[in-house]
Amino acid sequence: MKLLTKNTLILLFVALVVFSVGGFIFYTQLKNIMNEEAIEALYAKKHEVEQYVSENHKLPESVSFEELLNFTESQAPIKECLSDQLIYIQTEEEELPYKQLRFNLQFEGKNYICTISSSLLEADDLIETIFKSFAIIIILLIVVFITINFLFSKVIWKSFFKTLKQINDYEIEKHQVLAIDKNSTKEFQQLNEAIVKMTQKISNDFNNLKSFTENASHELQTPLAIIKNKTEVLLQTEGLTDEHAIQIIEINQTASRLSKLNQTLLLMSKIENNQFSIIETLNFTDIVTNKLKQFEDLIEMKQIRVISSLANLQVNIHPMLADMIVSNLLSNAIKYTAEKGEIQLVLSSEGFKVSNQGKALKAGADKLFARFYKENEDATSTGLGLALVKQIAIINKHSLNYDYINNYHVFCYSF
Amino acid sequence: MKILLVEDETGLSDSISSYLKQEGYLCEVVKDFKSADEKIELYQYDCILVDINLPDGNGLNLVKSLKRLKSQAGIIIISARNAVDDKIEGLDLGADDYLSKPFSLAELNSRIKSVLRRRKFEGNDEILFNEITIKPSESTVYVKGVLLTLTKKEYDLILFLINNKNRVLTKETIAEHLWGDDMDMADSYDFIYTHIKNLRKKLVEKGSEDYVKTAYGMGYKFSAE
Repeated sequence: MKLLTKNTLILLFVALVVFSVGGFIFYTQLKNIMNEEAIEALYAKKHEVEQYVSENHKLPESVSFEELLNFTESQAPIKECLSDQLIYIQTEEEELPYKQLRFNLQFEGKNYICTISSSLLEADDLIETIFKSFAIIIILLIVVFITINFLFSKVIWKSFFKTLKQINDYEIEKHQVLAIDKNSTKEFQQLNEAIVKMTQKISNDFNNLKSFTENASHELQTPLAIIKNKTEVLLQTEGLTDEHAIQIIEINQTASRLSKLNQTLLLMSKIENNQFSIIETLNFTDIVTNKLKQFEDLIEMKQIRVISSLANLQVNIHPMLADMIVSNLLSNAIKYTAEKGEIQLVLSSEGFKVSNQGKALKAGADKLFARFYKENEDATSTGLGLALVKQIAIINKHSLNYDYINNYHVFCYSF
Repeated sequence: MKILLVEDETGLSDSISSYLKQEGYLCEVVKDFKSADEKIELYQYDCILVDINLPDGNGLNLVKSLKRLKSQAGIIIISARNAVDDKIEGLDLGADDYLSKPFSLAELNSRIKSVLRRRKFEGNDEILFNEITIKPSESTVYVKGVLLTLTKKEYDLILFLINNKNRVLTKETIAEHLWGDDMDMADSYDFIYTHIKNLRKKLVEKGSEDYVKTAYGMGYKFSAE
């Protein structure tokens, strides 16, 4: 819900409460005043009647309209009294509220009861009038409020939306501190300051974490190097049994695997941290051709047919990343192609497409790019190759897609 | 041949120096920048192995010192930082080679030999192993004086094997030497077998003895025994 809508709804609710309470108070006050006025008017009339009688020496004529005036003879004088009466009025065809004053009038030695009635405003009418006027006031108020908000909100919220856009565009990998303009609205200024402080902290934490990851990774390499070299020395010992030698070699291989894993993770974190931001214009075709030559032995040994159609393509990318894309996609294809299978390479303006024959994936395609995902329990695979390429694609705003078409695994890297 | 090893990790320097001593080198080990700097001022070495991260300084500065002294020593940088920039900077400063940790001792040995050959003989030397002669400057191999036709990989393989003769080399070490880090596939071990088989066949055909021995079913050894 928009802030403006929320504000308006709250205003509407509060206005309703205030106006109903206010309306009730207003109603009772008004009613009291009218009552008093009516009573005053009755007494004035009484005075008028008494004056008339003493001046003209006769009773005034009875009136049976607005202010009813009535005389009745009585034996004894009555006490003056005020009362509320409902009187049936023929023209209105209903009973209407009246205030009535009865008092004793002595005339020519006789006692008369003089009744003066004064019509009161109907409560219904009164409530209706009050309700109507208050409703008009509420509607006016809301209309004015919305109009003002609408007219000025764009101006007032402008800097807020600017800040919002900056936050949306914020890229943590670039570990920058947001520079936000000063704002005259105190709340927005507070928000901006908080955001600047937060990005400052993010940037610091990010840098700390980055250097920690790198240092940890480097520190790991030395002990691994020691393990590898010690086993190598051990392997040269005279009189080793086969069994011992095999164990030693396995230790050595495991250390290598660990080291490779470590290096790949380090590489991945470097890619994520945008440490390969230097971009060059490269001839991608050359890279593919060179890699193919590098993998020649493997391709030959597995007797894989490679069908390639390589158009000339220039790409803007860091040379190491370009190398990793081709190397990982190619080695992946070679690895999962059976002997005498086929690999198709297409390099066009659309991108770099590598297809290889093979059985459908056991797991879903969405898992393919996950870190440490391995299609087979293969000890020599780090399960990071495709994740690495995916990461490169994300960082460079390229795309890497997978599809399984007619027994071919198709990877397409689009620039 | 005198080699200076500048490495602060004892675990590592012990293995390296013992391996190199077996190869017949005289290997001196120093643990910090200061003593390394003193050593290179005072003595002549044929090859210097420098770790970049030293407790009291950057190994790259030792390379600078060596160049200032116009030292004839070959320089190999060993580093845990597999950073391209480090590598480029080291080589630009005049280092002959760069190895990132972890490396195999056989690989280090092979690199030292090739650096020494380039430095000492300007490439004009011959490697002899009984009836086999290798001329590194021409990348050619002769058996009893007859030229052997080898592929690039087969040549690399025999050079690596003879550089590390009488030692057990795992398939992994050989694969890494021939194909570098890129090749992390199990398949690569299988086709080392293919290459070894082809090399053996070519050697034997020209009348060489079969020196390539299988060791423990998981590695190879080039040996006359």
